[in-house]
Amino acid sequence: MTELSHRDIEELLAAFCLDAVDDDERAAIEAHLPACPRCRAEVADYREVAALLANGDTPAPDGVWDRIVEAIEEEPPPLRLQLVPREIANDAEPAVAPVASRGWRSPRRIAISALSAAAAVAIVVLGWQVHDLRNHDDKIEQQLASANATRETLSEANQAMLDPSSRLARLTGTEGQHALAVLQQDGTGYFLASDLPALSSGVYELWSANANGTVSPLGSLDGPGVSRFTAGDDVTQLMVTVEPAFVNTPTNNPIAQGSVV
Amino acid sequence: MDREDLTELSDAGLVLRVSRYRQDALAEAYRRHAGAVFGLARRLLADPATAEEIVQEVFLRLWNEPEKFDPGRGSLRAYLLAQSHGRSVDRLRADSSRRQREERELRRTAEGGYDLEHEVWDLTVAATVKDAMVKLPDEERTAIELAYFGGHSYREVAVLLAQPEGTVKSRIRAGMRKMRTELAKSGVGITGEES
Repeated sequence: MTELSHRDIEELLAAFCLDAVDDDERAAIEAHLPACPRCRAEVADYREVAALLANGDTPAPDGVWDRIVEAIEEEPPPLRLQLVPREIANDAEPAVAPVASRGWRSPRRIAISALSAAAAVAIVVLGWQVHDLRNHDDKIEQQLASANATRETLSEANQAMLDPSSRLARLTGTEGQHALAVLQQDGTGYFLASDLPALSSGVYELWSANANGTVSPLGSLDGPGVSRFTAGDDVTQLMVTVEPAFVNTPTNNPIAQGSVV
Repeated sequence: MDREDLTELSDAGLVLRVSRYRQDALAEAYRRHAGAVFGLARRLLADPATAEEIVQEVFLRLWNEPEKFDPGRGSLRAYLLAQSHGRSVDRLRADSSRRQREERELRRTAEGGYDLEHEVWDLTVAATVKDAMVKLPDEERTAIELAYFGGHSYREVAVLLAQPEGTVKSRIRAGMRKMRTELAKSGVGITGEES
């Protein structure tokens, strides 16, 4: 990357906003901006100026909207948790955005603002884990969609993530399986397992373990999804097994596990 | 629950709803801004079909990555237009016929002036923006126009105008700063703070 001084960068900001710099200059400026509020403000202003230059009353082209809708409906966006800027979230709305799914059969997005640091780290991790996952099984989608409860559960899980006193567990498996659980102080927990592979038969069962090694069943899911559970406050470990049906004692080795922190 | 009147909503409010997969919110954002997004792309690319592709890409990106728009950093329109411009310029720069275009333009320039007056004024630009543009020294306006509407880098503009690169870079900056100040005075939504 080209080494540019702050002054060099300032000189280039206007051209940058007109997409009139070289690739290496652009890279240098983009690397500089996150750390420099002054340059960011200048970029914002120049972009507004550029927008006003461009401002014409051209009618929107016919047919493009239909193509957009088609593309949206063909290709579901990746499953992920994501951050919504505080300014948006505060726009006459509660800070925690409930999951909505108009036009979609399953809710997939949790909007979160004002995160505690711990939760933010966890969300980033999860965002990375589930990014670009586009495996959607129709059957599961329908199941998710039919259960409006899922939507509420996600919304509650979202709230739990925001609670600084919540504990979190990243469950990972040797074959790349991953899921997240959040555990509130009152013992209510949420198992976010939308990223687990679909099952042709059987269920995913979630287990807790405490420091004494006592294992307890917390609940099951018949495929990737989200569920609520209740666990004791002595839980130190969570595990997932695949079972033929909900059982009280695990019959298989965990496919994913993680510590509650 | 979806009975609210989106036409009254702020752009930031629309984007929040887009982030919740509200297709009607995306439709309203499209209604407000797709014309401008298209107009700019078509202006740069000349080819309406490619410009339509850009419109589609820009709004699909808003749908898929609404969090990329930060209302603290400017208006939705400026954000979408920056996307449209960046994508159009990428297309132009990838275009194999680019050399020819440049040569043609160089010839036009050599033949006694790029027809900038025409190029600019056939756009429907708000009167305040026109006023601000008119007040710019010719060399600053020309540099900005070649960069923004021609899709040229400042280095290319320097070649086109047979000026040193540093001079062109400074003119673009000086012109944009003046525009910012002028437009801020006219109250068109720019802070205009001198840095």
